[in-house]
Amino acid sequence: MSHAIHTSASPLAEQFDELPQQHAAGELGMWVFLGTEVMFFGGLFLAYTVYRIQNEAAFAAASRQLDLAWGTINTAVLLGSSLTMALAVHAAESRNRRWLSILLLATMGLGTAFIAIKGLEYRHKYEHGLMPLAALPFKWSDPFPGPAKLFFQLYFLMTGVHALHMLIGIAVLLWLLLKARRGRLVGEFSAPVRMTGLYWHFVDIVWVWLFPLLYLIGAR
Amino acid sequence: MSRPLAHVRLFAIVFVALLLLLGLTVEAARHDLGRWNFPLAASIASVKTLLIALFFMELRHSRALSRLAAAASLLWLAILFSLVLADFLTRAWDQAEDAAPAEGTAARRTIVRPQPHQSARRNETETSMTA
Repeated sequence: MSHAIHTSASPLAEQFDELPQQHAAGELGMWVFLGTEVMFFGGLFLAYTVYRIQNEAAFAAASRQLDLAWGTINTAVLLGSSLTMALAVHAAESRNRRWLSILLLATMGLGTAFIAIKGLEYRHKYEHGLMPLAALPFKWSDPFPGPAKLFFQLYFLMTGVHALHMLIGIAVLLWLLLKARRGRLVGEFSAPVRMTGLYWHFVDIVWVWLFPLLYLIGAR
Repeated sequence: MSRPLAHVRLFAIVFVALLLLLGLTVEAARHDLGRWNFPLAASIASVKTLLIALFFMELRHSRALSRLAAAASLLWLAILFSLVLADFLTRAWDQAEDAAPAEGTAARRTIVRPQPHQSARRNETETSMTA
């Protein structure tokens, strides 16, 4: 074992013997982390499930107040960002620096568009008195204001935590983009792009479930 | 140069499939399928999850250990849901005591029990869910 390979320019960290071992450790660590994220979101999904079983009609009525068009567009935007992310990982692995930068930027752009649309929806809900957070008013003329309020609180909690994950993802992508500009993330150095990709796709999967549960239960 | 392009093509096909599934789930939600609306939406979400995990997250090429970790998180999620729902889904028996509702449980029952001003369809789903 020569010490020469353990310089800052080497892709191999000191504690590993070889790159495949390092990649295996990184990948397993990422999947275990995503397992903790599954449990974190799982608790929210479970709370939603239990309250929906108890208040099905009120949840359906409240769900009809969400904007289906924006929700559908946002799902497509997020799926698109997963496509550019998967392509970015491939560009990094095949040492294509130019496309890596372009695709990271595209992923960030689509992620930001998602947040912006979510912001529009939040503002709309706020203006219509459907944001029952803290001391904000909740205006509900249909039957069951209580369970409907519960639905909107779950809506803001679940989409809010999801949006927070998106913001963290966008920040990590910015860091990757700055690194990629200096040519540091291609070939055997591409592990950070791959790991960020796993995280980004996971956040996408969470939305794939949030969308039908929040927007599509109202049989419009 | 054919391999990178093959990748792009595969990812594009997966993306189009995801968009078609999105269209399908939105269209299905516009029709009243009674109690089948939710199982259908959940099935479509499962297929989308599988596509993203297998292709975008490259799980089909991953090491066995990574796949095991991914499967383990689903197993734990299943335990969480099974144990909690085994409780909440089997509480319908106490609604048979309609004759003399106890003071403390009255509020909860009005939420669970179908109400006259709800549509008949929703009531049907509700009863089947809690039954």
